[in-house]
Amino acid sequence: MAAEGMVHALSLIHELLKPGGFLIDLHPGKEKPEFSVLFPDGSRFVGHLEETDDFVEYAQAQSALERVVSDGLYRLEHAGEFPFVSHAARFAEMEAFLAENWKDAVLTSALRAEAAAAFRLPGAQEIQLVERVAIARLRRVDQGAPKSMVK
Amino acid sequence: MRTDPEENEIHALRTLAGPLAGKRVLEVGSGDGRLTWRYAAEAGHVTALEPEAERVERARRDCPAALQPIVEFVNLGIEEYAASVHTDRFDLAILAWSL
Repeated sequence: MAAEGMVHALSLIHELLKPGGFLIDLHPGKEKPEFSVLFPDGSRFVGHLEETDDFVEYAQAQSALERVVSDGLYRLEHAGEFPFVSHAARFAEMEAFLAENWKDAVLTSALRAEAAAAFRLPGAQEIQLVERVAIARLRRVDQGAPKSMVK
Repeated sequence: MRTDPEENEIHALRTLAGPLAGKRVLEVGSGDGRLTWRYAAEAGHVTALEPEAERVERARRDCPAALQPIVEFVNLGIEEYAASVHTDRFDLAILAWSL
């Protein structure tokens, strides 16, 4: 969804919320997701997940939220972040999962080589993908701008 | 494959949403229901929008019996849905990875 489409969607949701209602948005944060291989005594970083569009939509999502707040449709009440972790027993399992669920993910040859090297070490247990996810609560502002003002 | 077995996502959602009892929730971009299953039992009613028909079919098929009276899966995007219903319907909207 392009940035203007995101703003439009948020304005439609504003109309669907009751007075005093709120929305909670979750979207990936600015940092690239990290792959690590887990061992009994810790984990070993093996690389980042890349995207074909260099994660542009996440910056657009953040901009759209800021825009609807500045337009007076919503009031930002809380913003935070949490780690979202996906676990796979083997790299191939992670790769299949991403192919199904993360269409523009790119797994570089350097990442593949590092992961393979880590899994050759004794005690390698699983591979983890850690995403930092931004979460925010935005309260509907009842005297917000009329729909016609929202481009 | 395990996604978020630590339950960080639902914990963060609960922290910000507060009690859901009796509330009407709109989930935009509900996908196959992965997040929906985790909170819907606490809500009064959930309208889960998903524009991809295949994902809606999967969600309807996998919906736990106890949640079927609570969750309504709608195969529409937000634009089409907003054009088809009255305003001021929901206490809470959730956009999980859907902007």
